[in-house]
Amino acid sequence: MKQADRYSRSIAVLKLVLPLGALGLLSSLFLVARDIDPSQAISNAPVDVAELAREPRISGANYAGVTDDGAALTIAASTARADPDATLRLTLTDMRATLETPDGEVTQINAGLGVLDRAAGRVEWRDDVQVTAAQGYALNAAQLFGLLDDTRLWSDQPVLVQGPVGEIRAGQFALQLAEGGARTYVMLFSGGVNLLYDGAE
Amino acid sequence: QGAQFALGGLAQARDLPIEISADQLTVDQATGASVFSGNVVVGQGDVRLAAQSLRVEYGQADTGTINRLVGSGGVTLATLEDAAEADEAIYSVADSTIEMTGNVMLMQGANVLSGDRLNINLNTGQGTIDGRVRTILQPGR
Repeated sequence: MKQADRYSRSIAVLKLVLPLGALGLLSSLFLVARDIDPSQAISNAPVDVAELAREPRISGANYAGVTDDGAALTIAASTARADPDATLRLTLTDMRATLETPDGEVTQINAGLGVLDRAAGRVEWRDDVQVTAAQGYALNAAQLFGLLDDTRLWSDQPVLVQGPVGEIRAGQFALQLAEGGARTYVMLFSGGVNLLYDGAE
Repeated sequence: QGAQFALGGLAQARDLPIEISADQLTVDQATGASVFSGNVVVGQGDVRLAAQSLRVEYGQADTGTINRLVGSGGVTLATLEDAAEADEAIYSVADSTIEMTGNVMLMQGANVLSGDRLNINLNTGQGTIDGRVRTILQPGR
């Protein structure tokens, strides 16, 4: 008999302790837990939520256009932000542009920052502009401008050019139709040009 | 009939770097034809070649070499002690020779030689001038 009493007594105790434990566990979930503030952004999100919401912004923006003389200009940017007081003027980041002229040559222009101003018909590359042109010419410039309606790229600041046979320093650079109506496109380095050719590599 | 002459004090020009400076360089995007224009000066070692315009002729495709430099519009060649003038000059970079044509005048010290064509080997310093060669010697110099 003794053994049976101990068993039923322990069951009686458990009948009391277990529900109370469950109740305590349950309350810690709601009563004593920290309050969660849904409006507060996730602390480690780098993006400023307020700014994102306020400004109209396109990510993965693309522009494509053809100039009067038939050159195709395409511009891709990771973000394009419209200027509040000039909606046709977009500030672009991480720009990759391609200019395909009718002579079959392709010029690549990349830059960290830029502006596409369709009202003025101009595009501007800033911040570490890298141009990969035809015939093995590649150049770096602080700033580069381009027209949307005619085929003309130009930089009025000094450029450093890696040419097919050597390094070239020039005061200005332009890519445009050759004068005299010939349908050829030329790269014009002006404002004092200096080529260093160190013999057959 | 041609006249021989030797240019003084010429360093081995063959593998010295060439520096071309000018006001402007125009490169045809489709063919790559490059023309320097406006106060063009080609410098290599002690040799200076000045021209109004200079066309660059490259070696075979993408070997990154210059084959010839063709100067026109009045060309002046200057070395340490001598100078030569002509209408045009072709500088074959590969074999370091310069050929000047058209109203050639060679000034060596006080002596002046004129003719129609002048060839110079920049490595040996030897040169010939031919075609109606006339020499003007300064007596007593």
